[in-house]
Amino acid sequence: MIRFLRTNAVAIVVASLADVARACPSCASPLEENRQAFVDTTIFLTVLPLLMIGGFVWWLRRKAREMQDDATIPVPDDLLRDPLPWSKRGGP
Amino acid sequence: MPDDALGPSYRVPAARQPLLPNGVLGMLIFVATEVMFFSGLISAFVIGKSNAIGGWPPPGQPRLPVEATAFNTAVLLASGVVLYFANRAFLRSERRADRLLLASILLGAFFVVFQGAEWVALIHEGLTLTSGPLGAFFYLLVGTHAAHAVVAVGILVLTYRRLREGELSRFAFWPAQIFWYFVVGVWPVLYVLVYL
Repeated sequence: MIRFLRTNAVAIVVASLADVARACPSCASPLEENRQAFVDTTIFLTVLPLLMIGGFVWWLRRKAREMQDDATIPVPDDLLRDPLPWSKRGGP
Repeated sequence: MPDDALGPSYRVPAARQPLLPNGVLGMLIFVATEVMFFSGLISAFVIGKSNAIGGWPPPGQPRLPVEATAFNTAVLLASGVVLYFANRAFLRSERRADRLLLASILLGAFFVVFQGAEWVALIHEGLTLTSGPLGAFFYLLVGTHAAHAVVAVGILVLTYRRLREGELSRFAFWPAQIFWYFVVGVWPVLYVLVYL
């Protein structure tokens, strides 16, 4: 138990000594253009895959509906007028 | 049975078909990942460019050949247009489809060779991967595109061979076209960002 508390106490002291992490170099950039570029590219890279996947799913749904609506093909008139039944033709 | 007993628009159920051929779906997914890959590179370039102190392009670096590459861009776009007409001719079973596809391949190959010659000239002028951020980004972006262009031309050559042998189906032609249109479509974006 004492060992556990000691380990945690050391971890808390070490953590409190550490400075704030600067993982993002652009966030702390003094250049306004650079900060803006970072924001713009973040938005771009977030929105692009959503648009691509969303657009593809939308297109697939539309195509599926079209295929459902048009799930039949017209029979040529000359076939309909033919008095000979299909069974006597010797196959299609 | 009277002639019009079934009506003039009698219809029978059509055979079920897949929404997309497997090859086309696979290529679309691949191209989507490639779009994200290029978007990542472009984003890195935009941030790197905005971080440049002293303006962009950095001073003391060779100028990129804007006019010559504009001509080469037109050649690549023409290749895409010719491929579109090759597909149309192919779907109509016209004999000129193979000639059009060959023309598209030759235009694409010209683009790649022209880019290579441009690179040799730039390297002689001192623009290398390690000469600065301009060189690093230039060779990364344009080089990645060139690698894609080489592979795409190879795919088109294989497609052409199958077409000549009479073994090409439209389901095999579409994926090759999608990849080439991607290579053609991404280039103007790179040209505007990197060269202008």
